[in-house]
Amino acid sequence: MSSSTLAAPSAAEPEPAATGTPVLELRGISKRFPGVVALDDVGFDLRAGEVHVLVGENGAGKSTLVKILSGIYQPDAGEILLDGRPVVLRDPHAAQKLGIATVHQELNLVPHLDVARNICLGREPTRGPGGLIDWPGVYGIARARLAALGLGLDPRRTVSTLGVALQQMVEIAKALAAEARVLILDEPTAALTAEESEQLFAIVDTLRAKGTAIVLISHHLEDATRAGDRATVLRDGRRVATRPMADLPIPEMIRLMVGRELTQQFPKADIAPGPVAIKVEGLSRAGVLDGVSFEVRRGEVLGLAGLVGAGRSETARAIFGIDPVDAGRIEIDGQPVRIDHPRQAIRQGVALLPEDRKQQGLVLLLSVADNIALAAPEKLGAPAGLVPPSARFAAARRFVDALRIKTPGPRQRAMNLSGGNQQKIVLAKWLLTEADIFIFDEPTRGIDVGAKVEVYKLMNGLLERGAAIVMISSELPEVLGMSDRILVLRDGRVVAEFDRAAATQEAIMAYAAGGTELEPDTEAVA
Amino acid sequence: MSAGGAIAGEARSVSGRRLSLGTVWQTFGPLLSLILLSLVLWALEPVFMSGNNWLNIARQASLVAILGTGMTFVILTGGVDLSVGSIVALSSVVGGILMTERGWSMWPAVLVMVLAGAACGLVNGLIVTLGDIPPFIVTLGTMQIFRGAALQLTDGKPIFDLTAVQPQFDLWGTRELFGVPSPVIITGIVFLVAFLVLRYTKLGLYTYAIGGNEQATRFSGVHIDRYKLAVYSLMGLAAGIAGVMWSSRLNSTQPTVAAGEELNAIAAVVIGGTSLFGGVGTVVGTLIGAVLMAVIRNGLNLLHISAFFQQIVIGAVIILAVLIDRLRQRGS
Repeated sequence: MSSSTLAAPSAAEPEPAATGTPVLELRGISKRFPGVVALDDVGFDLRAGEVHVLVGENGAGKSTLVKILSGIYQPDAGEILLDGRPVVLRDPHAAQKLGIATVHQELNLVPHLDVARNICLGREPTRGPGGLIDWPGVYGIARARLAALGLGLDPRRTVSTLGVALQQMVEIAKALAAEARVLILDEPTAALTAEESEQLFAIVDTLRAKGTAIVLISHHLEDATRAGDRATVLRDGRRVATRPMADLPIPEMIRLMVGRELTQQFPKADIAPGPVAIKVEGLSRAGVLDGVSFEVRRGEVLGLAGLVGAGRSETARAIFGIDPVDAGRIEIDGQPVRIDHPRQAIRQGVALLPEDRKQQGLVLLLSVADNIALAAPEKLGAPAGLVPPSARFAAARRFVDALRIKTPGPRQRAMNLSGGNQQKIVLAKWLLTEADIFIFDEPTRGIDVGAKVEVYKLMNGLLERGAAIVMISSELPEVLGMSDRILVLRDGRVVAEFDRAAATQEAIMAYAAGGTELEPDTEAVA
Repeated sequence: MSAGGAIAGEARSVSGRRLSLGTVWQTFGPLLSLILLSLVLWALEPVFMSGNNWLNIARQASLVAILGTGMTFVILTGGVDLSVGSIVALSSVVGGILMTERGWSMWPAVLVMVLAGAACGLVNGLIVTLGDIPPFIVTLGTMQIFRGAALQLTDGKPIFDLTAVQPQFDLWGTRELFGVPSPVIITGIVFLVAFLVLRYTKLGLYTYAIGGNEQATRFSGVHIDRYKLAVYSLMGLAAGIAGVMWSSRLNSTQPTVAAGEELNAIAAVVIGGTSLFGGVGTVVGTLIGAVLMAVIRNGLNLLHISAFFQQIVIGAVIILAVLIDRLRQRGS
């Protein structure tokens, strides 16, 4: 044993440790893009049977690191070692061949094909000289993969009939070819409810027990503590720390991520509530909403909690005039109003910051200025019907300064901005309409910790100016931290109401889930 | 103050580099190709650079340019209009009938020709929005319907010598103002109006927004359907104007006229850098695209290369233009 170390005194030989040999190791990885150093001399190691969490704010370098690991980017410097041997991951295919499987944030499934065909897509077993697809083989492989993950899912189910969580798991089954030893999960819980995330982590636990090495990237720090064995914190392209999860409580993690102490995760301002701004009565739509009623006062945040599909976003869409309703009344400032189109909602001073920022909130191809002008071009101060670029830029500059939107300029396309700054653009769009009733649907989804606090502070600013806010969120700490009152929705109905002081995560979850077990198989997107 | 300035300056230069490559190619790429091609043709055939030849090119480009200008709006919204060639023919036929058979005078006839085009566009828009049917399918259908109507109205026969009954009708096609052919002037006006509309009006902003992300635009309170109706009607209007120009130039109306011109208009839009998916593009690009196509035809004519071969070249240019655009995007 000692002779072997003498014979090969190479520093590249990893030291065998009790915790296991690194399956995958990165050394001194750097990656530059024009004008940005995305990764600067980053080291990272991954052992068999561990979940290694990567945390960091947007732009910290997580995505770049993942893309290097999955062969999408080539590092400018540094080396990648697989089982101690240097390898080159020329492209995603090469990475897959070496047993590195990646599940990207955006699902890559063919919705109209069934589960088995998706799992085997592009790698269908064949038989005979003609290379005909061995369909029984396809379903056999799919069944085996699903069983390995402990999923009792019918491989003949069409993927589009599955909920996001199950689609996510199909994606994992697809990525996990038999030889996969490293699994990279990029933001797997971004679109999942707490319950669905738990289902996902059960699968992660199963894989870990089988010795798969797992890299987990997540914005939800609770995910890191729930599932992780070790965590690496990245900041500004550098590695700040790698520690066992036990030595890294969440406040410490946040401190390392943002490089400063965040005094308060939820800086909720306490404002004496004013008159009722909006009153909703008996909002109903067959199969979706069943008599939703509530009122929100000026200076107040009403939190809407519930599982996905409970009717929260549907309530927002109904109020905003996007979806039709069968029954229901809306009063704004005591006056009954009719809202059949978002235009009318805007005229009543209502704003909706939708849950899917990229699909519903922004036109990513358009500039920051154009996005801001979109909902209220008549407020630009130009003659009716005209939206001169100079007026658009002037308005944009005003909001870029006021909301501290980080952008090189108002001409920048919205797609080039980070999640937090994109959310600020959506807010700026509604500020231009002079809205004073705001519906925030998942206001901080996919946004860094630091930027989240900024969004909360902007919400405070709105409240101080007499706005009323309805906040829909699947993150219970956020609901608890930022709401004055909380409504819990289930099956399109309001099933509970809590005051801020009386609410607990457990109580909300109990009402949201209604005590009935959510079977993975029965849960489907309508 | 100074630190803030330095940071802002840095950010600007960072994005400046990324932006400049992209936007410069998008704006000047087709123009650069046009200039290079012109220089090559000039070297091969000096006549190419003469003022008269350029007037020829402009006249040849004007029809595609006017249709392409309207088409740019439609494609920017993420749609397409395959019926424009048929609308040109229908407009032309309507004018011919009104002036010869019904004895209308020139001005009201021309007005009706233009409005007939706009009405056809409105029909397209109504079917697209109310029926929620993809524009490709809708206009594939109306392409047949409008052409069929033009053939039905004239029993498939041309109407010749319009200036015999309305001597002033040559105003739109063959006359000149300060030596510039009237179709070129008309196209120039249409182009200028379109440019200003896209840049300075709500309609322009929403045209880009709808093509960029229809859902987000609806969520911003925009009445999508109204603006789509406007865009398809404007396309029809442009085709109606083209119908007037074409009839005047040929001094006749033919129900089979302008068959396939919709594809040339789409080609001009694509060569000009507008994305067929919508949301990105300019009418300036389309104008350059139309001129580029005319220059290729004209240049190859001067070099005595057959019309058949010209078609091969134009086809290759369309693919090349999109290919260069793709490579540029992959590079950035």
